[in-house]
Amino acid sequence: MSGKDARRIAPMMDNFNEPFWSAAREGRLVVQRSKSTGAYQWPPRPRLLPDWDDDMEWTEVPGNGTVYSFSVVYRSSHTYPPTPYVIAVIELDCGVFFTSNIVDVDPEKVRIGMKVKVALEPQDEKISLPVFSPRN
Amino acid sequence: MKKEVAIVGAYESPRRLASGVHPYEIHAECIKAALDDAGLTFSDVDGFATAAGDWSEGGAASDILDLTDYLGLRPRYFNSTDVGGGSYVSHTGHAATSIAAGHADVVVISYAGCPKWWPLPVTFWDGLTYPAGPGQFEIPFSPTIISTAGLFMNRHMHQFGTTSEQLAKIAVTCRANAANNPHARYRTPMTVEDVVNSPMIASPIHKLDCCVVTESGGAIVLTNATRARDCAKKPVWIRGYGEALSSLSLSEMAKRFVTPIRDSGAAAYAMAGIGPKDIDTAQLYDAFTPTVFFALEDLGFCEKGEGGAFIDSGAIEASGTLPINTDGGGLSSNHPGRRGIFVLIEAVRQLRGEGPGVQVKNCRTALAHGMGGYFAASMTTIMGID
Repeated sequence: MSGKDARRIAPMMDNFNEPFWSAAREGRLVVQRSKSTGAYQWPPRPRLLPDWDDDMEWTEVPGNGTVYSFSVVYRSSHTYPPTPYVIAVIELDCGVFFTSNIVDVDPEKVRIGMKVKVALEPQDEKISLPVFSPRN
Repeated sequence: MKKEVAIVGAYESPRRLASGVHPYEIHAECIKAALDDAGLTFSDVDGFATAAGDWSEGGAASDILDLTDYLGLRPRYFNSTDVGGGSYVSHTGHAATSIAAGHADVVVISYAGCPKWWPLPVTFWDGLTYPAGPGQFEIPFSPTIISTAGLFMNRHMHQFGTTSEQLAKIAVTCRANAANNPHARYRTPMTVEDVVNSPMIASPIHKLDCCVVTESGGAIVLTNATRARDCAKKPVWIRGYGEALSSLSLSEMAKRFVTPIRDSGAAAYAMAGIGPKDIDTAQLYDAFTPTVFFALEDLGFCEKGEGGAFIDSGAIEASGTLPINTDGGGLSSNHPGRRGIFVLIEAVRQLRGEGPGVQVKNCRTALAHGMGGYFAASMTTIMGID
């Protein structure tokens, strides 16, 4: 399905995750990091794994990474993106993994290990979503 | 467990399409038939379990209360745990320990779904989680259930050289078994070429790597050793059970590439005091060929990375060392929104020598595996006969 009304399912912002979406709206990618060990954490949690330490902060990371795995979706009940599209898990250089789409590339050219970079794609006045595209 | 709790009744609806039939009607049909199979009556039942979220996949239950009321049950033991399609395997393990502890004498577990005609909340069916909480970082990118299987399988292919043809052999094996099952949804034999040439749904998953969509249901009945001895059929003993959850988030798939199946299987083997080599047949949850593939490795039937070679060896075929999905499985026989109840029923039939598709000779120990939630939930039950 697609059409002029087709759009992504919007994330529901809440108080806890607001720092991520606010930064994304400003074009910055932030993740959680332990103040004591420097380890990064994604997806965000109320505390840090594995010890449930709460000594953490949101910190900006460069949005460069590689494709850990992907699937080209030819049939979908979602209205957006139009098929075929690429759902992927991306390993950022700082060691965390993001789920996103690989855009600006022929889906059939996507490979595991492909180097990608983030772009914060505005959806509306509040939300920008991190999507990834190939980089040299 | 040593002959404390047994499955004494099992019934799979022969329905495969049920347009206009309320799923609750199929629940009632299956419960009655499973009790008849056991030689028990409705008034014997004092425990009930069903998965409370099956409405998301073609069922009608959003809680256990509504269905309990409809059936007229007054259970003193109930369980409505829902971790997706394999939930009924979890209900079996929990019912076994609860019966052993005296919380109930006769527990019925039932499932029914009519996803082809029953209103299906499509967004949630595909999304599984809402776009709030952890889901807000994944759902906007439109993952589908099939693309999740694709993400796991593509990674496996990259890391270990597994091929689409090896994966396809799982579907071909199920179809060969289904050819013998008069109730199976599809019975015409197919080839590896048929599978890999069928339309790609979400790479590397082809249409024929996916389960059939049926409208059906099933039920099983469990009771304690004392009552089991008086039932109509020989008891199928629960020997071992294990379960495990890991993260649902796709972004953590690397951490669960060895899936929670490893832990649920290990726990079930430990309780039964046996290992994978002692299993005569495995009924493995087959929503898509990768759910079988990962179960073969993570249940220890072969090493991680060797699933492709294990399949090539013919081990999972009816004539092999580990016949799987002997009724045709969800890939060819029966898969409404969920498959969990049917892996249990087919394991029971094999142990009784009542397999409707392929019957494994001298089948004494069977394993039933259920999974749910994008490889996040795994439940393993091991059963045996006297």
